[in-house]
Amino acid sequence: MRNIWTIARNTFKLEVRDKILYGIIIFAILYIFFEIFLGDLVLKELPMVKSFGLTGIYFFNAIIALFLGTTSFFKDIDRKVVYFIISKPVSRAQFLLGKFFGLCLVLLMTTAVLAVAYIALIAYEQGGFDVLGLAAIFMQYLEMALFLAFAIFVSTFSSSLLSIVYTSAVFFLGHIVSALIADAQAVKITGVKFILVEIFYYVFPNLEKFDVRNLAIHDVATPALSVVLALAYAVAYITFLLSASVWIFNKKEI
Amino acid sequence: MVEFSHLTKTYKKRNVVDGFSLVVDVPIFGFLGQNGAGKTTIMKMIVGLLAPTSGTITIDGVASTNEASKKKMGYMPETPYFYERMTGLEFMRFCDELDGSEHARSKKGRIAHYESILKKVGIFNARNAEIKTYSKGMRQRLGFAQALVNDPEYLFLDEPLDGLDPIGRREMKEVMLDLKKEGRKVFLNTHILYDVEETCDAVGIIHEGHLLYAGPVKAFTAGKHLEERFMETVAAHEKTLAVNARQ
Amino acid sequence: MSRFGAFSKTVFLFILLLLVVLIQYEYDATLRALSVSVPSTLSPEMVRLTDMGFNSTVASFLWAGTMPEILDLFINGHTEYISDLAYLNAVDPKLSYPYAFSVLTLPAVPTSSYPAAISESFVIGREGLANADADWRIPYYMAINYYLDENDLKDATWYFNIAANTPGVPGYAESFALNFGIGANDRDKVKALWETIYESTNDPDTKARAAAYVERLDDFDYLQQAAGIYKQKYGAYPTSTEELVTTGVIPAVPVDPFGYTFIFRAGGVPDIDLTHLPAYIQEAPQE
Repeated sequence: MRNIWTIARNTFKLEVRDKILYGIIIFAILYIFFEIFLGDLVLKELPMVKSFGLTGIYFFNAIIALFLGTTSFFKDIDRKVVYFIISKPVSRAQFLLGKFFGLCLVLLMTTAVLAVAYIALIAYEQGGFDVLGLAAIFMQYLEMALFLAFAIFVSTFSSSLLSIVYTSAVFFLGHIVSALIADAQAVKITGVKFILVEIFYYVFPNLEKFDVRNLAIHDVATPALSVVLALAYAVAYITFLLSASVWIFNKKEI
Repeated sequence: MVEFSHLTKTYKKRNVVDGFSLVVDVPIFGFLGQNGAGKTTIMKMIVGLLAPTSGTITIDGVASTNEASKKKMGYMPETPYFYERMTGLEFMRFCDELDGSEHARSKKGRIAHYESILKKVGIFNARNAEIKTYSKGMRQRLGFAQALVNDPEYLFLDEPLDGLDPIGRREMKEVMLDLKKEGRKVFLNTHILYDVEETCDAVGIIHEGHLLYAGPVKAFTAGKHLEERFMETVAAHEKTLAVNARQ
Repeated sequence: MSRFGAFSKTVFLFILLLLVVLIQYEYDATLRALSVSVPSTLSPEMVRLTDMGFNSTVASFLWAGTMPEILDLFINGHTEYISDLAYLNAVDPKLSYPYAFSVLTLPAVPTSSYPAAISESFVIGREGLANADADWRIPYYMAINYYLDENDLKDATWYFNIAANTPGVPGYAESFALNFGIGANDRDKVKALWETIYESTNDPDTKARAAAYVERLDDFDYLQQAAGIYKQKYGAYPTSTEELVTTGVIPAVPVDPFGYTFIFRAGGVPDIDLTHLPAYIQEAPQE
C-alpha cells in the first residue's frame, strides 16, 4: 500500500539524518579496520579476524536496532507527531507497518555499509570473497528485523525505558533458550514443570537459529533447509508481533 | 454538512462529552468554550484520534473517520507537533502523499501548489528551513498550511490563532474568510470570544461537555456583548443542573 | 484488521503463534538430523581479554551449554563435556559449581563409555580446589569418591577434613566429615594417618587439627577399653558414659576436642551424639 511506503520512506529519511546513527556507524567501521591491526598483533588467524568482524557487525546492528526500535515509534506517539498522520486517510496499521519497514530499511543500510567494509577487510587479509560471511550477515539481519518487530511491539504499551529493558532481555534470553531446555532435559525435570519449560521454549523468540557465525568462520556452509526455516520463522514471528502490535495500537487513545 | 448524533465520550465514569447532537451547515462554525470544556475531544473524535463511547459523526452522510471523508477534510491539531528535522516543504509533501493525492507524484507541479499555500499563510521564506528552527507562530501557520494541501471541502481547526501575534491573527482570519469565499466549510475551536464574533457565522457554546447553545452568532448576542451572553448562558445551565440535583 | 471482532483477532494471533511453534519444531528436527558441529573459535584467553571483566557471566553461560553434554558422556562417551568444561574453567577458574558438579557426577559414568571417568573427576576436583572460590562440595564429593569408588581411606579422610574446614559448609556435612573414620575398624588406620600428618606438616593450623583428630580417636579407644572393663565387672556393657564415671571405672568423661558428646551404642561401641550438634556448627548458607 502506498501509505506504508510513504511512511517507510519518510522514517528512513528522518532516522538517517540522526547524528547518533552516524556516530555508531563510523565507530563500527573504525572497529572493523582496527581489526587489521589486531589481526597482525593478536588474532593472527583468518577465522579469528572473521569472528571479530561478524560479531562486531552483529553487536553494532543490535545496538542500532535497540535504539531505533524502542524510540522511533514511541516518540512519534509520545510527541504527538502522529496527530497529523492518523487524522489523514491513513490507518493505524499502515502507520505502524510503515515505521517497521522504514526502520528495516535503515538497518539494511547500516548492514550493507558494514558488510562492504567486512568483505573488503577479508579480501585484504587474503580470505577471498567471503560468501559464507555474507550468509551469516544475512541471517543476522533477519534476527535484527525480528528484534525491531519486538521492540515496536513493546513500545505500543511501554515507555522507552521499559521497552529497552524488555527488548534487551529478549536479546539475552533469546540466545540461551535452547540451552535452557537442554539443561531441563539433563536434570530430568518432568511433569508440569517440564511442560512449562517447553511452552516457554517454543513461545519465546529463539534467536540461536540466526547465529551461523561459527559455521561461516570455519568455512562450513549452513544447510539450505535451516536457512529457509530460519527465514520462515522470522517472517512468522514478525507477522505475529506486528499483528499483535496493530491490535494494541488500534485501541490506544492518543 | 456535518452532523453529530448523540455523541458521548466517557473517561473514568465522567462524561467529557455528553450526548452531543448538532447539525452544522454554515461556512464558518465556531466551538466556543473554556479550556477543558470538551472542544478538543470533539474534534479528535471527528478525525479519529479518539473513538466516541457512543454516538456518531458524519460528513455528508458518511462517517467522518471513513477514508472518503478524510480525503475531503483538513485538520489542524491544537499545538501542532512536527518531525523537527523535516523542512516545511518536505512536510507539506509528506502530508500531501498521505492525503492520498495522485498528484504527489509529479513533483514539480505539486511544489508550486505547496509554495502557494505557504505564501498564503506567510511562511514561504522558511520553506526550506528545518522545522526545528521555526518559531511558535510559524509552526501554527505550517499546521494551518498542511490542512489545505489536499484542497479540502471541510477544515477542522483546533485553536488556529493560538500563539500568533496580532498581525498574524489578522492574517489568518483573512485566510479563513478567503476559504469561505472559496466555498469551503470551516470548523474552529476557540476560547476567545472576540474571534468568534469576528469570523463565525454560527457558534456552538460548549460547557463541561454539554452543548448549551448552537445557532447564529447575531441571534445569540442579541445586542449584548458576547461575553455577557456567554456568562449568562453558563450560569443558567449551572442553575438548571443545581435544580435537577435537588429533585 | 479494522472489521475483525476481538474473537477472530485472538484466533488469528493464536494461529500465527502456532505457526511459529511449528517452524521452531521443524527447525529443531532438521538440526538434529544434520547435526553440524564446530569447535569454538575464540581461545579462552581471548574471551577473558575481551569480555570486559564479565568472566563469570560468560563462564556461566558456557556452563549452561556445557552441562547437558554430560548426557553424551554417559551414552556415547563423547568427551565434549570434558573439553568444554576445561574451556569454561579457563575462562573463569573461580566458578566453583562446574568443578563440584563434575566431581559428583563423573564417577556415575559407566566405565564402558568413559573409562577415565573417576580419575578425571579427581583431576578436576584438585583443579577446583586450587583455583575455584571456596566450595565445600568439591572436597566433600572427592572424599566420598575416594572412599566409595577407590576404597582410599587416606585420601577420603584428608578431603573430608578440608571439606569440614571450608567456610560455608552446612552443618550436616561438617558433622559427617568431622566424624568420618571413627568406626572401630577404621580407627587405627585413620589415627595413623593423622599422626603422620602431624609429624610431616609445619603449618600450625594443620598440626593443631591433626592433634585434635588423634586426641579424639584416643578418646574413643579409651572409652572402648573402659567399656570392656565395665562389662567384665558388671556383666553388661554400659549404656552411657556417665555410668563409667559413677561406677568409678574412669575418673571423668573425656572432652571431645570437636565438641561432641560421647555416647555408647550396643555392645559397648563408643560413638558421638549426632542429635545434639555442638553450638559452633550452624546450618551455614551455601554458595
